[in-house]
Amino acid sequence: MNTTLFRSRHSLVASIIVVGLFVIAQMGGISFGRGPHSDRTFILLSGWIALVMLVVVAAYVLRKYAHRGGYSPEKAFKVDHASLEKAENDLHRLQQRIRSGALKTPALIGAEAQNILKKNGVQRVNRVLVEPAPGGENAWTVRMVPTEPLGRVARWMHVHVFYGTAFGAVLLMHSGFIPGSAFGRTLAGLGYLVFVTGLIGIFLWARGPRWLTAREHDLSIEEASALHASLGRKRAEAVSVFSPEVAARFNRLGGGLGVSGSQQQVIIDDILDQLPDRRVEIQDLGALITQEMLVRRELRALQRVRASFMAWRIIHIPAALLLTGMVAVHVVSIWKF
Amino acid sequence: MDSSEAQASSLLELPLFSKLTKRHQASLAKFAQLRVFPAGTDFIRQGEYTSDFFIVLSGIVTAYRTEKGGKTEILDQFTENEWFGELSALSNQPAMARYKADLPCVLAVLDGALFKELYSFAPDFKKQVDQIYRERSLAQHLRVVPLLKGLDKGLLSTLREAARFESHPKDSVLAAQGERASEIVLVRSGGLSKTRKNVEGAEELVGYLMANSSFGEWAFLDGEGDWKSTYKALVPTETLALPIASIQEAFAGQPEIIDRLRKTARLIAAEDQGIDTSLYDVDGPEATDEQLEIMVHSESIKGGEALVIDLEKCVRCNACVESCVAVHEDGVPRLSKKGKRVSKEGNALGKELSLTTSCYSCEAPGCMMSCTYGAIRRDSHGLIRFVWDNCVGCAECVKGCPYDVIRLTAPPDPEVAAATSWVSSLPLIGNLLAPPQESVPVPEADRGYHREQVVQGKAVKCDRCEGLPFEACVYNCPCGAIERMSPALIFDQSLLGMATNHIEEPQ
Repeated sequence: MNTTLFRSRHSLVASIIVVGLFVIAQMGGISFGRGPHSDRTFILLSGWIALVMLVVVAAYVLRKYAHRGGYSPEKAFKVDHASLEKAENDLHRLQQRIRSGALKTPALIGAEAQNILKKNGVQRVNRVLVEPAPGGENAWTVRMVPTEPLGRVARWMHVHVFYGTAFGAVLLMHSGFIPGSAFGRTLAGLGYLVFVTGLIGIFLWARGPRWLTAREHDLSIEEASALHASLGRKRAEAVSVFSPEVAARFNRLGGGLGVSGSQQQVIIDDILDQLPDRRVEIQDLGALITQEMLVRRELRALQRVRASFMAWRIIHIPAALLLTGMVAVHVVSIWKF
Repeated sequence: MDSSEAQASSLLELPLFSKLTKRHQASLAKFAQLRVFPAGTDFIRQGEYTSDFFIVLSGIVTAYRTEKGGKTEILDQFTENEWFGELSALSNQPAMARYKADLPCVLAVLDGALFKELYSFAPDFKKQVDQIYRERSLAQHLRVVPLLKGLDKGLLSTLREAARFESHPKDSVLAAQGERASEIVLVRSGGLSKTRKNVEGAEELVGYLMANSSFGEWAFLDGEGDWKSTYKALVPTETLALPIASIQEAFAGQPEIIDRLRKTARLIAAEDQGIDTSLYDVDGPEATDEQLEIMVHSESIKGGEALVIDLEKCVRCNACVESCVAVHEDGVPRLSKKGKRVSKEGNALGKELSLTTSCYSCEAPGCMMSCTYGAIRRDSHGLIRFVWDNCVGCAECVKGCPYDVIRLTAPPDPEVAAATSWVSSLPLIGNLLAPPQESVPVPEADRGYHREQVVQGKAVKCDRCEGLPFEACVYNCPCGAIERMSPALIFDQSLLGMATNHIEEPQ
């Protein structure tokens, strides 16, 4: 299981928020949602917390798709290769000074390295790590790494997972088990739907990689796709030496229009009868087509597994978008009215 | 006459270029450059990757070499009309010395592509370069041969006339396993594969030899002097062959030197055999077949850093590939997830890993050895970089790369939009906030037309999102499954010794 999905300080923060709210409710004897023992302040507080969590959870989505769509603001930081090389050359000279003993402490080295980056105008895209080097005490080495200003998406995923999960609990405390109004029931229902599908997603992302790896049997979807394309090209080249009519029959086999193994054999035998002097060629081609069909079958199976692996998103994403819209309406209506 | 014409005609007066054809004269006029260095400038560092050829037009340049122990000696000095850098220009290998301008110098510089063009197709140019190399640099160069390493430069000078320059086309066999070994061979440029027959008779790859590598010590062992491996040219390769008979003849009156050479040869031969069957550290862990195959065949052990996917975290969402596409304006992904799988037992991390198909910055880069346009070089970190302007899209590098990491994009558009801020690229509102600037035509000099050749495309490969504050694939993976890491982390550090030859100095 992929446990790194769960290793984050946000799990602690989210837990504290949920437990804190729960404790407040219990100590005040407050019931969840609107009811005889409800408390307006608690409802407002839990509502605002749920809203903030929703915004934070949505930020992951914005962050992820900003990059995928090519709109990331960090792209504006790009520097040219010449500046990078100059910075690297200057760091190389700094390394020589470190080795000669002119700079001894990590703080001094780090400050000097940072100045080099600034001098060459690359401080926004790179930072320097000062690490212990082999070769005795007080041996240090510098290494340039990207700054990654907005943080990796994997970190944002932790935010999404933990505050998203906490959102479900806070929603329950805010709206109660069965809200009074139709709008409230729809809103809460949507929220729980997003929450539950999210939990399914977490489960699949934690357990799924192992299943997928085992299912791929050393032939990943990418490899199967490339192999299938390659076999198709070989088949096309091999059938080109036959007449158009025979080539078309081979290509129909290779194209995989639901032809079973026995049907394939019947067709091959028929072609063999027509062209007995080309037996070896036809048999080789038959073997190639069989290979192609097997790889295609495996490719389709892997694609189905991958698709089913992602199926939960078909509900999670539209429901989340709808939820966001309805929450906006809810907030405005509460605020205004 | 404008300045470039004046510069060209002054170069043509040099004896080195006196017999160039009109076509080569035109190349020289177009692509040679003049550089001026003030006195005291170190303009090439020892170990720096450079592919330029320098001719001193005025001033004095001194070459200093610092050995491993820290001792620095003067290697050579170059005055007017003398040249240096032919080895680096031929082989894209690190400079053997530091070059310093003792006086204010004016140097004519031919880049690697121009040098190779003249060296390959102008016979008189080649002859003069080789002759001066034989007189001035050969003896020094021979000291990189492990067998001859401890010998004095003066002693090695006696071997000058015996050395034979040879050119080997791609796939030619220089030496076949089992045949009589009769010479020492030094690789000047290009690269060789070294293979050996296993017990089943199949050829197994043992390693690679690139520029400044050598082989042939077996020839020195009486009664055992057969080639133990087969050496084959991976790309067009230039070598220097030194017949053993001439070494023996040169030192006939100095039996102690012959004795020393035999001892060294025996050591080298023993190490060479050792790499096949045992580890250097007999107490260390044994490598599995899988590890050996990956380390030697995939060269990931010799490359820079590998891009690795942890299959126990990867959900196959393809965010890495999509991010790569988003970052590169031509829409061509540099990353392919199709790569070698490493089982849990096959690596030190104990996880199912996939070594993705991205540039390994190989030690023996097939791409760089195949490129004749100077479009591929190493930067100061040893990483392989593509020089966009020099690439003409001939696709030789695509064929030369054994890992299929290089792709060709369409030829560049002659008009490119000026850079716009990220604000203006926002959907719907971008135009309101920052209207995009008008397209500006790219000047002819920058359009990618080079070496009188129409650009058919541009070769691209993973450039680690150079210049950006992230590596897109690593940055955007939602599971943290993809990471760039050193092979030393993937494979046990103690096993790294198997992949490199360490030759000890004779006692």
